[in-house]
Amino acid sequence: MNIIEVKNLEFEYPITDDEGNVVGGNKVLKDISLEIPKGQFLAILGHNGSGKSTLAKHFNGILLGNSGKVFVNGIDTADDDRIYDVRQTVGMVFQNPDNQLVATIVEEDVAFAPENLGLPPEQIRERVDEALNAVDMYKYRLHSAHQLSGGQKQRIAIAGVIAMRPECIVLDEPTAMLDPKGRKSIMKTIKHLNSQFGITIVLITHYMDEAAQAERVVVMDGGRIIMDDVPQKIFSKVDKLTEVGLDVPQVTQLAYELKKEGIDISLEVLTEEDCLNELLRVADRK
Amino acid sequence: MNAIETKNLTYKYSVGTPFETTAVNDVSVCIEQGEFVGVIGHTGSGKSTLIQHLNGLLKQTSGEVLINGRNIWSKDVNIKDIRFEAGLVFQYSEYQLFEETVYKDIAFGPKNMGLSEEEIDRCVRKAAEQMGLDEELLERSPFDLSGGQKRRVALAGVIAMEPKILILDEPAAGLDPAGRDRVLEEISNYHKNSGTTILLVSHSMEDIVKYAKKVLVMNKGELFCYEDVDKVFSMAEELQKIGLDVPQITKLAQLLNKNGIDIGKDIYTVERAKERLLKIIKGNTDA
Repeated sequence: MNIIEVKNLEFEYPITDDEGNVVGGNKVLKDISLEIPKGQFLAILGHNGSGKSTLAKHFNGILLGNSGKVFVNGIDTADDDRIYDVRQTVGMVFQNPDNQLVATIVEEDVAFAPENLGLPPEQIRERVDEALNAVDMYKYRLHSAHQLSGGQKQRIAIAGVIAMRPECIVLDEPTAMLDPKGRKSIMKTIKHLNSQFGITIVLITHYMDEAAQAERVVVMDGGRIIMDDVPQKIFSKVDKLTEVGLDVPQVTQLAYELKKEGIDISLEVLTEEDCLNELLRVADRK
Repeated sequence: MNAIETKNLTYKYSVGTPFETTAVNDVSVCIEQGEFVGVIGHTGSGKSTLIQHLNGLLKQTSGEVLINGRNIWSKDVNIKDIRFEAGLVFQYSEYQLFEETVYKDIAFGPKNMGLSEEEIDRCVRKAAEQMGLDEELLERSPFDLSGGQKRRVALAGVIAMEPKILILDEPAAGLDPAGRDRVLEEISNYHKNSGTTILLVSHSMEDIVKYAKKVLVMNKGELFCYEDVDKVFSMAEELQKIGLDVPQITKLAQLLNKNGIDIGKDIYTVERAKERLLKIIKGNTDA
C-alpha cells in the first residue's frame, strides 16, 4: 500500500514582470512519478535548485501541480474538500527551527495542532505528552521554547507535527542549520519514529551521510528524478553524483579511487565498517 | 610578526549574578600574519566568544588582545580602526544584506571608512571579482540571488574593506556541496592572492583539513591546542574524547590499524589513505 503516489507531476513557478503580469514560467518539476510505500524511510537527495523542496511541498497540498496528480492515501491533494485529511496524514517540518515555533512554552507549542483539531483537553494532554516523549523532550515541557538549542527546537517542531498523529512526516532539510550534535539527535529521532511508530519518513536533504541512513534514496537533478535505489547502489555511482554536485562518503570515494588503480574492491561501501571488511578481504587475497 | 595575539584572555558572562559563566578561560595564543587557521570546538566550547574579541565586539573580563602588535583596548587605539583591520563575518551572513543592490551592499563598509567615490568603486569591483560575482549581478537586488551567491555578496562586503585579518564563522553552513565548495574555494583563492590572515570556524573537519594549515581547538572555554593540521589530526582519539568529530577517513584508518593493516596515524585525507593502501595492497600481491 502506498501512502503517497505522484503521477506525471509537472510544476512551474510563474515569472512576472514589474506590473505583476505573468510573462512566462520556470519549470521546476518535470514529469515526476513516484510511489512511497507506507512505513518507508525515503531520502530525497539533490543540490539547491534541483526541485526537491518543491516536490516536498506537493506531498500535502501546499503546492498543486500544473499537470499530473498527487494522491495521499488515495485522496487527490487537489480535492479542496479533503485537504484537511491530507494535511493530517502528511505533516511537514521545515529548515529553520525559529520559524516554526508559535508559543513561548514548549508544551503549549506542541499543543497548538491538537487544540486546532478541537480535541477535548484530556486528549490534548495525552497527545502532547506522547509527542514530547517520542522526540525525547518530555523533561523540557515547561521550558521556554526560544531558549532551547537549535536541535532541541527542531525536535519540538517535530513533536508539534506528531501531536497530529500523522502517518507520514516530510522533513525539508531539517538539519541544515544545526551543529553536528543537533544533526545527530534529529537523525536519531527520525529513525526512532520510523522504526517504533511505523511513521513513513520523507527526508529532503543535501547531506549524503543522512541519505545513506535511509532505506531508499531518490536523487533529483534539474527537476527530474535521475536515480532511485538503495543507498549502497546510489553512492557507488561516484561519477554520476559528483556530476550533479553531490558528495559521496569518504570511504566510498576511497574505494572508487582504489578501483581506478586496478584494485578489485566493491564500491558498495558506505560506512567505515563496510570499507574495513572490503579492505581486509582485498589485503588477504595475495 | 603576529597578526593576532591574546594574553590570558578571559571572558565571563553575567558577572556578579547567579548566572555567571566563564565562556573563555585564560587563552593565550599567537597567530602569525598570513596564516590560514581552522577553528574547531563543539557548540558551547567558547570559539564564537573568542573570535568576537578579535575585533573588539566583546571586551575581555581580564587579559589582553593585540592586533598587529597593538593592544586594541589601549587609550591611543581607536576601536573602529581595529574593526576595519580585522573583518568578522558572522554565521548566515546573508541575513545581514539590506541594500537595494548588490553594489550598494558591498559599498557600505568602504563608505563608512570614509573613502572617496573612486576608491569605493575600486574596492567594490575588486571584492566582487574576488568572490566570483559577475559584473551584471552588481545592479541586481541581493534578495533575488541564490543562497550561495548571497553568502558571497556578504563576504565581499567585508573583503571590500580590505582587512588584514578575516574571521569567518561557519561561512559554508547550510549550503549544498556545490555552494559550499564555491564559497570556500573563493576564500582560499583570496587568501593566496592577498596574504590575508584567515580564521575559519567550522564544524566540518573535512573542510578544515582541506583548507587550513593550522588548527585551533577550543574545549570548555579553554585552548585545547594550536598546532599544524598534521599534528592535530594525528591526535584523533583525543579529539573524539572532547566530543569532536574526525573525518570519516580518519575513523577508517583507526579501524584498519586495530585490524592489522598498518596504515599509520596521520590519515585525514582520502588521497593519503589511497597512497598508503596502494603500497600495502600492491606490496602484498608482489610478494
